[in-house]
Amino acid sequence: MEERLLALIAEVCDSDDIYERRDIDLFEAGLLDSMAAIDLLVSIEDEFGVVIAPTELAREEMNSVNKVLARVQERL
Amino acid sequence: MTFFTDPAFFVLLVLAAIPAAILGFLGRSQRFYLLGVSLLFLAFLFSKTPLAGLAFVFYLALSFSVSRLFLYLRSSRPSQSLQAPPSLPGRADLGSDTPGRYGDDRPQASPNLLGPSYPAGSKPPAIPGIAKSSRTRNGFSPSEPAGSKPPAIPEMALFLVVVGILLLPLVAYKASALFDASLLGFLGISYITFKTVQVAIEIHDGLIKELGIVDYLAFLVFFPPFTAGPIMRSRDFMHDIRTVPQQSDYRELFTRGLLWFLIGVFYKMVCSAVFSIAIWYLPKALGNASWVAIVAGQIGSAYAYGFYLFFDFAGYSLMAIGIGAVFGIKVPRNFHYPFASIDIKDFWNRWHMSLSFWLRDYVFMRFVRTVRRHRLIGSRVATSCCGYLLNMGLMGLWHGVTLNYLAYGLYHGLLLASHELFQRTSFFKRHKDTKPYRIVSWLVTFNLVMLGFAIFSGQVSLSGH
Repeated sequence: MEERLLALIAEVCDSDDIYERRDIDLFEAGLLDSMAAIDLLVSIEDEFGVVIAPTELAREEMNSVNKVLARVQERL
Repeated sequence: MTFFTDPAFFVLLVLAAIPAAILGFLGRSQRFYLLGVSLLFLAFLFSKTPLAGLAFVFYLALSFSVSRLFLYLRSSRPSQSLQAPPSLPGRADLGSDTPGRYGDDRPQASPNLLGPSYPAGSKPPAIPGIAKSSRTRNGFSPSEPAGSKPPAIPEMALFLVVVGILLLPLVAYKASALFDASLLGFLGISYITFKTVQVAIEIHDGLIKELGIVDYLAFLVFFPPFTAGPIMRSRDFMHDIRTVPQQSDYRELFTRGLLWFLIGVFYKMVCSAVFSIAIWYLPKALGNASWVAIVAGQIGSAYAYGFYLFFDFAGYSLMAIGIGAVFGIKVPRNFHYPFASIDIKDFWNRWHMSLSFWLRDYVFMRFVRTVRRHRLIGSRVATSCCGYLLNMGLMGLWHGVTLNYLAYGLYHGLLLASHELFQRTSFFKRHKDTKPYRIVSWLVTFNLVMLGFAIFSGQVSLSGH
């Protein structure tokens, strides 16, 4: 599941850097914006059946690879 | 009585703030006191327009009963295989974000591209499913391939009906304004509608699970931002009203509130007044001897109007934030140095933030999500461009159903869409962090924004006078 999610994030962010740097702020690094974030939520929904409403989480709860991983894992 | 301009308002405000501060400093709850004071202020607000007051009371009753019924229907649906995660009634993580809101200049809300701060680490809320899937929402089961829809249309239909009912008075009012009438209208209807719709959307999302009449009423009638914002979110408000701050925290909140209020007064009474004089003075001073003087006068007037609008509106907002703080409510920030924006997206993260974030969270994101879920538009860029046009078009119309406001909205929609396209060019990627680029980009943005205000004010008019 971790690998699938990483591949998904890499696709949305359009960068392979995320495999290496799992704790960087994806928004600050310019890898994620609000549009891509929605993409990510929809992709997570498609892939894992985990639904996260757009206003459910604050940005700092989902702004790095590891945090996204944690949020999805606690919902699986 | 008019809020923020009438001397009587300020007198009443001071009288109302004293007991609030005493309650706060004693560490007592201000919940019922705030509700009472808000009702009193609104009674004064509508005292000269009893018909509008009646429409307002009608809207309160309508929105409460509709939202409550919706919540009831939503939660009484039989759901299977829900593991009932612990639900938090309000926010759990306020301590960390409180200072950012008042203290420093960090944009408190703008980093929240995924929405405002809500419960940290809380489990996903239990969403009563309609279909078989355990995590169904919007009637769409994510575990199933896109396109095959479970029989969940009734829930979605119910939701749309609820939102439709909540929007109806605003739409009727805005439409009737075209004929110089004011059907169902009352002062503050535009702002209150954001609140009621937000509650309905989050009931639909399963994020709101209880709706007490006192809290809901207090949220809707909360007087400082009632007529001109900032737009609060119900879960933030309900958290604040139910939490009695520690005495030391309240002391800080109170002091900051007072400071913000005074800055707001200065913005409104001094800065905005100066620029409002400049608006008509500049064209006069430059005269109309030559076309150069005329154009210069008009341009100067347009820039003065932009600054006037900022100081006037930011002044109101700061006063509302300050009063809110005295009552223990953290009203969100509405402006964050908008004229320092480096690009147009940046501008909307700094200008009328509570409105633009509301639209981002409840219009843009929902639109994009629906489109992506159902694969309605192929490319991502096209999706976001359509989203921006829809988002900003609505923003324009919310100000009023006129050609100028619509043009203002679409103008910004187009700017955002163009920026989206521009961001993908190699030119942008190569130069975006260089100083010359940033300076030029700032300058262009600033002037485009000013042109936008000229459309907004009707100075640059499509309909022609």
